[in-house]
Amino acid sequence: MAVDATLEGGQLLLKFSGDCTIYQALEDHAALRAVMAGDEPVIADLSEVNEIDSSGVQILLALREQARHQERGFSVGACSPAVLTVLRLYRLEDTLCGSAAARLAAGEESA
Amino acid sequence: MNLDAAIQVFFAECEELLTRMEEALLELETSSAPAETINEIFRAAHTIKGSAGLFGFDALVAFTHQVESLLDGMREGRIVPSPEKVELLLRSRDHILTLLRHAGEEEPLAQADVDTGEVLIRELKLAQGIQAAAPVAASNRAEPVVASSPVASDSDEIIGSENWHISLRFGRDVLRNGMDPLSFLNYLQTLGSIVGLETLHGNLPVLDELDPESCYLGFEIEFQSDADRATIEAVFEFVRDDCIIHIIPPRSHISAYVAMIQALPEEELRLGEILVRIGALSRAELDLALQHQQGLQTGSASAATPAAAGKGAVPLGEILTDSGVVAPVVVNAALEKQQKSRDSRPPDASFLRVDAEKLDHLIELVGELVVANASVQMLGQADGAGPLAEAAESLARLVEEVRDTTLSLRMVQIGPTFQRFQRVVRDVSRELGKDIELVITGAETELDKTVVERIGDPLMHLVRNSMDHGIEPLERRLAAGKSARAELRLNAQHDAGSIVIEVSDDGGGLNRAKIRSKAIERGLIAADAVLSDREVDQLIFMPGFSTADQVSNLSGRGVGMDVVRRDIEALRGTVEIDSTPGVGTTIRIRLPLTLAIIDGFLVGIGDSRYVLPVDLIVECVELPMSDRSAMVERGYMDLRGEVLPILWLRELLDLQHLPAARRENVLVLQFGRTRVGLVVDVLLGEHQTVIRPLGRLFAALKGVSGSTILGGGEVALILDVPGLVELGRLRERPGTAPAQRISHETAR
Repeated sequence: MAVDATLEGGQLLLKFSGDCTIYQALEDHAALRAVMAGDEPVIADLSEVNEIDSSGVQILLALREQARHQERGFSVGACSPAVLTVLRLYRLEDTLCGSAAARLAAGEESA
Repeated sequence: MNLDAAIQVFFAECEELLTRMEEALLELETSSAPAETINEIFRAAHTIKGSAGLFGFDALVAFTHQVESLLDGMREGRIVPSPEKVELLLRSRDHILTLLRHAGEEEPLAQADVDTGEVLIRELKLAQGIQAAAPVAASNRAEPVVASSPVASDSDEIIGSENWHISLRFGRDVLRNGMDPLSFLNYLQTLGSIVGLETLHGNLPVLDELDPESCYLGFEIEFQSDADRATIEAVFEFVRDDCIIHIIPPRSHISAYVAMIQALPEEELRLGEILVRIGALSRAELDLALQHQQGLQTGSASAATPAAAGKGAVPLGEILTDSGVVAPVVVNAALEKQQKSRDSRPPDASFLRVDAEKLDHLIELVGELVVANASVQMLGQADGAGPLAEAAESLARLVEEVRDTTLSLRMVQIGPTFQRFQRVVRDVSRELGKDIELVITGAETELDKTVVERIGDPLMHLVRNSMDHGIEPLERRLAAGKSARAELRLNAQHDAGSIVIEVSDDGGGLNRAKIRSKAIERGLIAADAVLSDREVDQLIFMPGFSTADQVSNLSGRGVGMDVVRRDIEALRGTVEIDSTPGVGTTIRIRLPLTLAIIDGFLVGIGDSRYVLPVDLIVECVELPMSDRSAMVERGYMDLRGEVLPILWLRELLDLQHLPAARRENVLVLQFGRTRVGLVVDVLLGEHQTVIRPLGRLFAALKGVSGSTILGGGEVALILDVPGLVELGRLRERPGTAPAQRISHETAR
């Protein structure tokens, strides 16, 4: 996996690409920790992810948890079909994406 | 890595696990949360099997595997832990111990043990085989095997759900080992369809604390499938060992769910969620119950329910039960679990395994330190109020602390030793056909490890004796108006610097007439001897004494109580007996706290120095000279209106040749229920005493239990007070004529 982090309009956009599996888990984890230093709301773009496994799902959940702790927003912008399949099997679509949609909507309203 | 050392650790650990397993099995017979207990037993067997495999003890692995399989069945609720099966597991546990003790030895196992093993394996297989068919039948009719389950009750209804329930908690290393929960779920889907699923990620930390290669996930799955249990189980074959798996077939009994709730690792799960998750009730039913609860809280009708009046809010569990939404058993199990997670968090247990030899060496060194300190103290005292005295003073305080802390390292609780007797009592009472309950109190009392190790045998003897001779047969108990179930008590407590261990029964008490006649018959006492009840009772500790009419295989071989007494005296302890005919017998063992160092009190006769354990001393008074000759004559003194028997140390130790002191002092000593005054010349104060054993030559010496080295290098004898008292009694017996000797002395 590669994470491309850009600051856009006061939001931290994390664009994931490639594989999110146990083989890259250590690297990905380190890379993500490095870019999570600020306090901007986080948007994860998963549309370019080819493959994701349980370790990848765990990283996403932990990322969300971290953002919540730091009281910055977290949302998943878009998902590739591979990611969607896994999130649906795990019944985590709502947890990761659904709440994101809700928060996005709220954000838009307040903006 | 040193393999020998590893094997030693393996043996030690396995023995511990087996002990725990035995305790848990016995607990299972009465446990309110059998699921947890079964889990514990299973884990013990599992660990033994795993470690044994590591060392290539194949026989041990093969046998333990069978035990483990049966336990696995119980863990999943397939097999009911009936008393017969617990019995079988107890015997199997013994066999594992046999195999373990044999492991690593060259010669083959004794044929008898091989046979036992084969019989047990057959029984273990049978126990699984009969029950293995049950789950299949369960889908068509009520599962009869659950009926006798400890958690089953009248309300053990069948759950409406048509789905399998699968509960998974993956181990931390699953991902690292190249397995992904995802693949198991995908594979599971080939056997049927997942109709409900919840991913449990509550254990997942925030990103910064995440170990990305560990697995934190768990799943609760409702699964619709026609596959049989074995096929579904096979899906998880590869993760079976590092994953907690519960599989509950469709239309199972509530008790299966109860067992699962109790075994779930989650702590803070809300009751409602547990119930919904396991499919015991639907979300709609839960919502209904929640509404009901809110209504009670906000409405003025709260006084209508007594519980609500007391607590303000009715616990959800009560509401669910009251409205008949869910069977009470399930709610209670969930409540119990919540309660547990709230109050009984296990205390932080971090232990170090230390070589006992290192500890012994440390204690020896502390002993030397105490002796060395004694000479420093002497120099300090000579210094008067100088700086050396001050330094010596603070050194003394530290040495005392170091001494106490070091000795406490060796202190262990007596609980595990007592617990061992649960099994003994259970087995022996069955053998004797008596119904006996063992009640343990004071299990947390601590004493020296050496003492704990060496007290086991005498205790075993006493416990067996009580069961065999003390407790009467059932008919006689009933005739005497006692309860059918007899009670055997083991109690430990601290008392005046020593440990008291009591073995008591509510049996018939000692038959004094019989003891007396037996003692006369054996020539232990004269036919016309006048003995108090207590003295008669003590006769059973005489060598070669046994009153059992029948020699059973438990006790009564005539090598009984005298051996017990010898063992206990070897520990510097005493044993006394307290018996009331028709009510019961208590045997009281009194042991010193430690075997190495004591707080002593230094006294002197002429130039000789003696040490007494300070804990025995109640007070010190000056001997009134005016009354002296009368006291010598009578053998007692008037201590503020009380009669205090007195012993003259000078006399007891035959030191009459030493110049008499101008003044004498009386030490008032108390041990057990005996109080006695000991007359000495001078009192020299407290002294930390390192006990050094006397040589073999002096083993038979009465009244002296050891020696110690004083600060100045002189040797002082440590007095054994109970021994001195006995010495005094012997001298009082007619024939030895103490009165004459004493009067002779005073005449001088």
